[in-house]
Amino acid sequence: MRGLLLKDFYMTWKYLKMIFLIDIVFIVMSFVSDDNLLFALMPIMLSGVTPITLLAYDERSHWTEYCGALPYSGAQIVSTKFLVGLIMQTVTSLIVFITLLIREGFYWADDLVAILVTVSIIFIITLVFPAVCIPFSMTFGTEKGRLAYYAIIILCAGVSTIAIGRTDDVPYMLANKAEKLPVFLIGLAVFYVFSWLLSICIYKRKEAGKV
Amino acid sequence: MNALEIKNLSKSFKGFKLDNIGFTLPSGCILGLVGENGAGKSTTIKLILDMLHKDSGSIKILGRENTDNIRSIKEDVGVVMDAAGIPECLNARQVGKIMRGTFENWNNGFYCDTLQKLSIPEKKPYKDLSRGMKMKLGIAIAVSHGSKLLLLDEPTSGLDPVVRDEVVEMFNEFTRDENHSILISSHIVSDLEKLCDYIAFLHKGKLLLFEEKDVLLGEYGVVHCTEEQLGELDEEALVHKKVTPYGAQAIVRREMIPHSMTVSPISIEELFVHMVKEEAV
Repeated sequence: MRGLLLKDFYMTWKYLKMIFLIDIVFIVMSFVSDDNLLFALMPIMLSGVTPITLLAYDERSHWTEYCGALPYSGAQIVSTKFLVGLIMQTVTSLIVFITLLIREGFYWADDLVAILVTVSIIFIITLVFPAVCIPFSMTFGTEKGRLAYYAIIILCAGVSTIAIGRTDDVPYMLANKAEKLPVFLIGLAVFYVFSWLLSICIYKRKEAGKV
Repeated sequence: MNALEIKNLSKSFKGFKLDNIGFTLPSGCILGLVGENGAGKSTTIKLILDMLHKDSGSIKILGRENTDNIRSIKEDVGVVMDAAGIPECLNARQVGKIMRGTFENWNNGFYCDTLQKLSIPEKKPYKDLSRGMKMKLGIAIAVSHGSKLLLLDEPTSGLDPVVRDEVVEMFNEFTRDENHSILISSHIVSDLEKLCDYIAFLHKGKLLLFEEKDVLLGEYGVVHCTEEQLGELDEEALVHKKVTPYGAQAIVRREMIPHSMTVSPISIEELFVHMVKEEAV
């Protein structure tokens, strides 16, 4: 599995350099904009696309097929993508956390726990992207995997609008139910683990040599 | 020991069926899998590697069932795919490091020596290598982890004659060790003719023939004569005949031809084309 991880890190460095540059721009912007957290948190959200980008490049180079001829199990091949995604998100979150600490220190020197909670929330919400896309990409390919993600987002937005009444009410509703936030976040983490296991099952059932 | 034993292997897809094929590759030998595009060559190789799941039949690699701990079997099998599968941004040195983390018996010294011997640049990204260089890199990987069996899917297609000759020489060198064997698929029959000890003809998912190359070349020959002379030959001796206003040509079974008649050697390619055309008399 060491070989798979190394390969994905080489590729991440090569293909995602542009995203790293954008991350730096966002971090710099967060220092300029003193009352907007979005710039500081964007790098975490961007890091969520890493596994799908890697899968797309694997497909293009026929690595997916070649990998089936190497001594790796299906679980190792799939887990590499989830692990690389988690590592990238963790590293980015740490950088963002340190950035926010420095930024808050400059302005208010405020609550460390509040920053940690904010970063953790964004970290877990970002997990939704790979958790939705990877199983679909394993089944239908990366292009259709992305489409599935957009479809699910639209579906969720539609259902929540019908259920709640108006989209404008959603932030107010969430604000009023802040005590349920941990349950929601744990639910997302469980969903991520479920997606990981499901992707392994899909890969094992799928025939690696079928193109 | 046999490097590869395939019995009654079948696999169906929509619009294609690999139909009950079987052959054996003894250790130390090279088997050429000949067939037109879509004949089932790549499917056979993927079934051997358990990348596709067989419908029926059995596959033994180096004496072990291919479904029985395939990961350990793959340590002993070097594979070169038609589409080599190396990510485009990586260079040969990085690929070596990845493979060191992949194969237990990876021999990095041997890999670096092979790169040097084949003049493969270590730092050039894969996407910038020529088709020949890419194929040579694939072969360098396949032979650098102590493989006992090489499975090569169209390794010479798209290569110029000089590189093809170099590649063929590499395979010959690999099989100098009597524990090393190669299964090579190709539709460039001339390469296989130079290289192989055994030949298997695949056509539309069916195994038309599996035989030792020398037996095939000894058994069959080509006769050039007049139509009348052809008519005097035993019908059983004729495998295929072609009559034109300028004379007749026939593929024949040598032992059934009178000694007075000159029988020219046949190429594997001629034999394959005639068998595929299903125009045998």
